[in-house]
Amino acid sequence: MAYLVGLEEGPGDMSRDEKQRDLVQGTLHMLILKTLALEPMHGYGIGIRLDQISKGVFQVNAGSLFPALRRLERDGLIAGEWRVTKNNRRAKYYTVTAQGRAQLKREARDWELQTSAISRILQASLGELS
Amino acid sequence: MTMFRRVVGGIRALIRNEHVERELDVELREYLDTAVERKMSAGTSRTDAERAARAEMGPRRDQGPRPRRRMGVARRDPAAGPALRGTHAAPRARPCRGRRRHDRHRCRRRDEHVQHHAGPFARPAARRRTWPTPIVSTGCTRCSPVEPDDEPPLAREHAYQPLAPGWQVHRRWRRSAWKLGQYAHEADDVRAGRVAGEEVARHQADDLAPAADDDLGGERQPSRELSPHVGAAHGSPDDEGPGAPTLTASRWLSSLASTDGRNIR
Repeated sequence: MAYLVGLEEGPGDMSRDEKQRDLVQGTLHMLILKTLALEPMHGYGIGIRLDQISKGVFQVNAGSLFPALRRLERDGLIAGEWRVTKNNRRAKYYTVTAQGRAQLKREARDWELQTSAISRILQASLGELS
Repeated sequence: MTMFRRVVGGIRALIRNEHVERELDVELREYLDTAVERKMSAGTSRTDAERAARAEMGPRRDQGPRPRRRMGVARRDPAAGPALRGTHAAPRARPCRGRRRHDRHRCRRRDEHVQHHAGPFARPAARRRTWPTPIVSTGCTRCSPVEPDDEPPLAREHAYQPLAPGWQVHRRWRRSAWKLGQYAHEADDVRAGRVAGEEVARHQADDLAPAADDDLGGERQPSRELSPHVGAAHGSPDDEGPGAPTLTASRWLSSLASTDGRNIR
């Protein structure tokens, strides 16, 4: 998984294909935890919800999503449970554990720090430094 | 005790891995089915929905590099050694299934068809003895055409590999690769004749030149004086470059003479 984010363009006036960007490396776990913190969800639902919230900028395919879910479950950050969906299908619903919530809080705080630092660097001008 | 714990832990890990793999398979199947249903509810046909869903899922885990040998025919791979190269590429989409009804005479990839019909455990495909021609469309409904860009032509140095002795291909036995007292590179090979021709030309170039000049209408000029007319671009007569087929035998002999160290001024 190679992740990069397009910082220059806003998602407003671009077509769907142009809008799609890869995630910043290491942020997929945080996004999954945040999505599951809203409500318990199965794998397909997580992908759809990420697509909806990001307005089509991030589309996580199954090849990235399920290994990430495996890792999170192995680390005890999420817990899975087999249930029946509305369409009478069996699906594994994931919920965030207490450990996962704490981890999400830490990662969100780190992300805020990093993005604010990066935006300060990008907005810096020579006059401010002198 | 520690050893016992390790063994138990290993067995437990194995069982757990199997369980996790099984669960993942079920999850992926459900994921695919849900995606297909969702696309079908949006008005897409089932085939298109499945194709789109599979494309969205990304590459399958078991999609590795294509196997080199399929249906018993060696794939032509420039990176592979000469022993692994066949004259024809392996069948792609639709390998031949019928033995009787297939019109072998119309198909230019006859050797490959023989290999198809022989089955997956057949002998390696026969190598052609002529220059390989680029195959774009065979006109055969049972084989998939090989695109020239996709499958580069066989390298010249590998086109005349000695044949493996004693292998039956298409109701006849191959001759042995070479006979006793014969060099390997001379076996059943047009290049061997060319090598012999070069040797003759080197020794007899001056004797042959007047006759060659007569053919060209020259006035008994020695062959080396004709050599500037035959540049390096002409190459040997069996080259496939432009202009090479128009080179006459006398000019070719002259060019060979000019390349000999003794005849260069």
